[in-house]
Amino acid sequence: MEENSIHISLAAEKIGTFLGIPITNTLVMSFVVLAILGILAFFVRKDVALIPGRLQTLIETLFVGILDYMTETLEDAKLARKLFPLILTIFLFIFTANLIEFTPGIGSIGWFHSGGEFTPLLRSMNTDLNTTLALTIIAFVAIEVAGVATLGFLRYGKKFVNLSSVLGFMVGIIELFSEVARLVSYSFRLFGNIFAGEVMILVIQHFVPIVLPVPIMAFEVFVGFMQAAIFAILTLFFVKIAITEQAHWI
Amino acid sequence: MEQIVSVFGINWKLLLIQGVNFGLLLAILYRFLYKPVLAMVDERRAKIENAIKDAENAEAELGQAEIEKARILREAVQKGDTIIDTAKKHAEGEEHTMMKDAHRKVVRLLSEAERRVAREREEMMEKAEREVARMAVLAAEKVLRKV
Repeated sequence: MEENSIHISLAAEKIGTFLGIPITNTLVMSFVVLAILGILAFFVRKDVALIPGRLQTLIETLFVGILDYMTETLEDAKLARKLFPLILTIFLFIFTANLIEFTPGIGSIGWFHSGGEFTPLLRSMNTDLNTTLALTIIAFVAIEVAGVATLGFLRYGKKFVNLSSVLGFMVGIIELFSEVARLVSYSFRLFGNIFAGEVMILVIQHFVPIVLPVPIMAFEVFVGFMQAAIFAILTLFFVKIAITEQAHWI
Repeated sequence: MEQIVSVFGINWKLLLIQGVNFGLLLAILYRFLYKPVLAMVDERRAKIENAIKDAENAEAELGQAEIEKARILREAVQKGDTIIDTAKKHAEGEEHTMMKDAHRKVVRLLSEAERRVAREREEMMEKAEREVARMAVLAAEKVLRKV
């Protein structure tokens, strides 16, 4: 029976417990991503030279391009330099995870339980709301900190609690709600896109196991890139909004 | 809310460990990727900036040297011209005095020669007169003896 049914779980499967912390397959996956990026960084670090090689030229071009774009958006070179590691790490973390989600073995290596339920050892990192929510909280905190650090607590707080007029007060409330709503929209956007992609691949594999899933997988990798870019760029834009003082008409 | 949390398997421990995981990645990438690469970019930029500045300085110095060279050349030509001019003037003056000297000498020699000729002529005339007188006396003696 288990051969013919598709088992979909919104929550990541628990594969063990370590010091009271439940170890899920997405958590293992995030360690794998961490290891991949760490190794890559180590190799780049080893070969960094004043006269750059090909890899270094590529990385430098990307970094400088992103940094220039951030400086242009934020109109503040110092802040752009400070935020650059965070924005780029968000992008690289999500993108690497999405890139390797179709690697053979991920989602297919695992074990059956007595009830015929299958638990894969690895599961695409962003198909767990814990991961996306954690990233969202980090981005959210970074946005608020950037806003407070740039404008000062009182001027930043005035965006949300504005007692100068009725209209201003209403706008402040709306701002506050949209700020908090970001936590939901951010995390569910990433989670939903990647999870939906996984489910679609699963369904198509059920119908036509070979050839047909390939273009869909390619498209899903593109979606993975887009979602990583969207997550990073939205963080950047919201920082820009946070450090910009509200218009004076209110 | 409870249902959402249980359906999606949200667990604060997992959230925390994912956050820590991300922080660790951020630290690793910052230490091993962003910092060295950006530092290298900055270093190269500084080096290129210096090189361009040096080249500009060298060019300016070259221009200065070129101007200096032209000035020295012009001065040298001027100096040479004045030297030649003075030399020419000097030579002309020398020539003039030499000519004058020569003229004077010639005049003196001429007058001396004239004087000497005149004296000789006088002497000759005197001599001739004396001779004539003597001849006349002799002739007179001869005549007187015959008589």
